[in-house]
Amino acid sequence: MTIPALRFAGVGKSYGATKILDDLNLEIAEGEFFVLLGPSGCGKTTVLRMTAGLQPVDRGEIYLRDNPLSGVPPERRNIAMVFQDYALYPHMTVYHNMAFGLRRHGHGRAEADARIRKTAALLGIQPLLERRPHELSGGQQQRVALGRAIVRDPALYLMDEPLSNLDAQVRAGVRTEIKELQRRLGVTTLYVTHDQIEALTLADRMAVLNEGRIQQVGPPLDVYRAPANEFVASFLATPKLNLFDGTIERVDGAVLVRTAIGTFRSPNPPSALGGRTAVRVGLRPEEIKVSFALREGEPSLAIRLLEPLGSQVLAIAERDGADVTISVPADAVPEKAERLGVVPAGCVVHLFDRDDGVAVAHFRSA
Amino acid sequence: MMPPRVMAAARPYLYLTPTLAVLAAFTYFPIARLAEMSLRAPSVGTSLGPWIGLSAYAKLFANPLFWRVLGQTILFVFASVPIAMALALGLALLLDQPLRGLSVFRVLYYTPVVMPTVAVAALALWMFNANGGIVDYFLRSLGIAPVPWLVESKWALPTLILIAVWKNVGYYMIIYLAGLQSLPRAVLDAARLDGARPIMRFFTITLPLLRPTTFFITVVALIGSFQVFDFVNLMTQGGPSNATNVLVYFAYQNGFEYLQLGMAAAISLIMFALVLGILGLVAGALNR
Repeated sequence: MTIPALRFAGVGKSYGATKILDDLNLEIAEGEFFVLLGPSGCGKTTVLRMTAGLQPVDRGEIYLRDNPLSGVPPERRNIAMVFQDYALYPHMTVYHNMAFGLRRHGHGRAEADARIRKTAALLGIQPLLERRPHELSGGQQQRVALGRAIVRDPALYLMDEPLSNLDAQVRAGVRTEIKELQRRLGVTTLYVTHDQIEALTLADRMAVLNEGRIQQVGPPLDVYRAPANEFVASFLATPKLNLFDGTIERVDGAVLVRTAIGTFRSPNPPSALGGRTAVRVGLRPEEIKVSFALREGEPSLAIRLLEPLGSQVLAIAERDGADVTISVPADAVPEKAERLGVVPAGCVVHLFDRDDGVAVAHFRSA
Repeated sequence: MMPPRVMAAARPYLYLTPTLAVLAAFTYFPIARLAEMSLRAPSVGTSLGPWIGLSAYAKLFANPLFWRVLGQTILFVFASVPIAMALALGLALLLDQPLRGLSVFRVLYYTPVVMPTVAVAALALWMFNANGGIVDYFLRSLGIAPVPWLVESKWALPTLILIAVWKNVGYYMIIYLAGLQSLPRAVLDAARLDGARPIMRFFTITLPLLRPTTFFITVVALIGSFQVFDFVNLMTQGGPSNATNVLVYFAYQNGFEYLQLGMAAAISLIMFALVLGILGLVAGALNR
């Protein structure tokens, strides 16, 4: 078996009586782009800082290529970190920002220079080498911060929400760039974010973290398609997951899930459903099928608000006090639409246990 | 009525006028008057006297005591300011840590700053008393011979410097501490990951980033130290035999003891120019 590039074995961290991280077990393969996704305060930045050596580990051990890291000072871990607010040395030029770490790690002037020029060319920042950080735009600063990490050719990159201070347009561009760079350089990367889009687009594999515990680990689309519990489903839904109480009926070998907004039918009853008669039903806004052409007497929902997002429109509708957010292609929405009907077939339905929120089934309704 | 555009352009200046008026009346006019006094032979109470040109300055420059006082002032400033600032930075670095009971230490170090100078001077006189003062007592218990602190010429100015450092260090420390705490932590973290050890980090990252703070403290400290008067007046009256005489005290003696107002004005003006010049150099060096 190959040795994982980075391994967390029972890692825990507390501040006083507050547990920040509880028994973190995780293996990241060599060259993998691994994303830790979670809301603020879930402990994800603590994981990065402990890996970097900026914070001590209270319990367990972190291994870098099978070498335990506890007791190794940050400067000897051969890890480079990209910070949320770039953390460039403001009093140094871009060139010296990149040279600083190289020189500290014992590279000679000539070698450092060659590496800086090469990295600058890779990132297209050669014209900026003599500038100082305050003369650069946010996107340029982030690129320099990346360069400072890349130039050292470390065993591991840590990235702490590196895109969150950028404008939306720049962000998408830098995101693509980060992914391409990582592919090209093949350096193991642990990337932390609270942005599900970043996680889905960047990760080879991802872990969802909440309240110091890992909720689910896997390739992004697997996690998206089959969230392990209510929390993961909610966190990977924009703008929000619609949750309803549902009751289960079994008819002719099929299963009917009744909710406030409609009844969904699964032809092959999922085995994990067991003998449950009551569940929580989760429907993502983009996974609900609707129709605006309503027949007389057909059950429908009153539209409270339409929020155009460009190609999609968010419809906020309600029935019997239950709110539903649905994402609809803009050209499917008629002018002055007042009501819509949920089409029972073709919706993606996630079922969760009513008590502990653990997923019991995911299916497309028929 | 002025047209609105002119009004809009004039408004900021209008707002500045009251402050400028107060400054003009109580700062710039007195300075101009001081310059005038230094060129005339004023007598106490009544007239500004006849114009005598630069003769007050000529007399001053011919007086060896003036040069000695000037030298002592410069020595006082350039010894007490760097020592106090270095100590303050050291203490601030020690206190810039997440330790329990830190606020207690901050208060302890800041106490001398809030003490009235008169009280500090009285306390210092007692502590540095050559006849059984507590400092000598401690020295003796360590097997060191007692020092004639304020009694002997060669010890008097260093003693004064010591007391000034003790009084000011807490103030500079608080400012340094504020500066340290506003430093971007991530930048220091980045330096750690880049392989910089603590001392390296201090000189290559912390100190350069603290430059605005250092500049501010330097300016405040230089101005304050050049103007040292109260300690001298309260503790030594410039003695023994002018060993602790400094420019402001010298001006005070000339003006209010010897009633040489023109002389006092000339000394004050020279000091004003000196401080301005030095601040210019400091600004050039630190405030790039």
